[in-house]
Amino acid sequence: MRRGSLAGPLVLILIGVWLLLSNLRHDLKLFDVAARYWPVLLVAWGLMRLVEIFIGALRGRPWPRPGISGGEWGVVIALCLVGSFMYTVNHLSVGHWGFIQANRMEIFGRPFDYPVAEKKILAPSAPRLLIENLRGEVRVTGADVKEIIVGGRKSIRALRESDADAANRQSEVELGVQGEQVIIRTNTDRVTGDQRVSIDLEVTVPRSAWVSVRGREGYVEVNDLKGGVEVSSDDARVRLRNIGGNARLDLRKSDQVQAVNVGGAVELIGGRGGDIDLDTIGGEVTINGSYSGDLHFRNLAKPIRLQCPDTELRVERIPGEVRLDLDKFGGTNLVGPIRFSSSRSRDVEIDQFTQSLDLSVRGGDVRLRPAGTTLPQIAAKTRDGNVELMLPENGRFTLRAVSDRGEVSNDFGPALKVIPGRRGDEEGRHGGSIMGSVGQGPSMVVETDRGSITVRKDSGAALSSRQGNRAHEQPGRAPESPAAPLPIEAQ
Amino acid sequence: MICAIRGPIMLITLGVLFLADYFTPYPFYKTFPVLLIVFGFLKLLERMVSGSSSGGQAPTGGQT
Repeated sequence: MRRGSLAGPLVLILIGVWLLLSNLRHDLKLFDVAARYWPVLLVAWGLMRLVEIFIGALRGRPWPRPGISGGEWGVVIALCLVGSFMYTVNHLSVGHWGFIQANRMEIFGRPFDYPVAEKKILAPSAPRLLIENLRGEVRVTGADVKEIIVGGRKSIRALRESDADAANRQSEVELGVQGEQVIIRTNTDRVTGDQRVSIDLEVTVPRSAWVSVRGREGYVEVNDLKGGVEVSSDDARVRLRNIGGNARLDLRKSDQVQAVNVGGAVELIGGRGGDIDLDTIGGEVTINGSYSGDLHFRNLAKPIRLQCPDTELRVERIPGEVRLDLDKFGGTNLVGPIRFSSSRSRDVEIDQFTQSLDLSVRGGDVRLRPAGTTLPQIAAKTRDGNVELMLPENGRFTLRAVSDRGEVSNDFGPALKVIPGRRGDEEGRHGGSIMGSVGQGPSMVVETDRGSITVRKDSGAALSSRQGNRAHEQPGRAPESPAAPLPIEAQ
Repeated sequence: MICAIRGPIMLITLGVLFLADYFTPYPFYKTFPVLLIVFGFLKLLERMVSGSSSGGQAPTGGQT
């Protein structure tokens, strides 16, 4: 009878002891240990076999033909697979691979819910409130109250209810005063195990409050405050409504930022972002970061500056609206100076704008319709796209439009001269330009490499379907109000 | 004899390479040629031993 190796039974015993321990002692983090040190089993197994073989040889037994049998190699391969899997899962939960939001609690854990008992504190006048909540939602609402009230619910993901209970006890929501500040702390960092604690807070504050929210992941909503708001988070969606003061958002990642009716300035410092929606902002708007979603700005009273890796936008005021995504830039009723440059291809359509426009896109069609009879100065460049310029019949301007390889067409009549062919190409097969002046007016320079250029008389028809009427020199805040047709100036 | 200890030594090498992957800056995908080197070295040793010793063991071909 062939005597089996000692290694097989020993490995079995080891696995049994490990499973038993991990069932009885939760605090030892045996999963982590096993995930890191399982290769020691391979080394130990190999050493054991070596020792067995040499002892056998000393006792005069023959050398075994293969030192390790085929079946044993199968077990080794299975061990390698399981061990690597454990290491990978463990590694993910440590969070080195930021792009996979996986955690073994999310895979194996269950959610347990707990209420957060309501707490109150009498607020000083014009209180400054700091909320620290690592994970979860924070909703702050201003009301006619004298106290700061906090309540909510907790969701704890854990393998067992006892673990969740322990995490609930450790992460007690605190409401206290520290110097000038009122502080709400969720203490989720005190949880000793690897349970995932997520806390949703409902906070009611006096309207005069100034609120700062700090977190790592979640959703922040602030409503009806006269003071300011500050949010800083690694990953949060933010929604602000009816804020009197400034809003400063420092978000490394954010799928959505929405702000409606903010009296002060809005500053958004983002790493990566999705959608931004700003409506009725009283102060300056500054946006930094890279955004892949839809950007929508409406009714901005002060200048906006948007700085992305591939795009820069500056507009003095937006009484109308601007929509910007990865393929398109659309604006209606803008007060210049306007500057838009994009190193990626985008179709551009700007309707009713004043003062000046400096536009440069890598490609895409451009359609421009300036507002009023006092036309803005225009410098527009696109590489691969058609340009359409709609100018009022009675407008005055000096035009220089050049297409390197595309066609040019002019609806303005003899005041503008169409020159076929680009410079140095006498036969006129490629490209063309339109030059000339209509009255004394601002300069308009339009250039495209491969597209056509069309200069049209603006008949007053809408460029985009929404705008029905021409705006005058100063586009009103309500562009929809019916305006009388422009009196035609005698030339 | 070499044939007998080849399995355990390969197993130990494998374990050490995995540990190196986890605890040193040398990942497994970079260090795996060590397995080939060790295997080749053992084969070479086997040939030398069987060449010098006079038929004590049945000459065994390497498994593929």
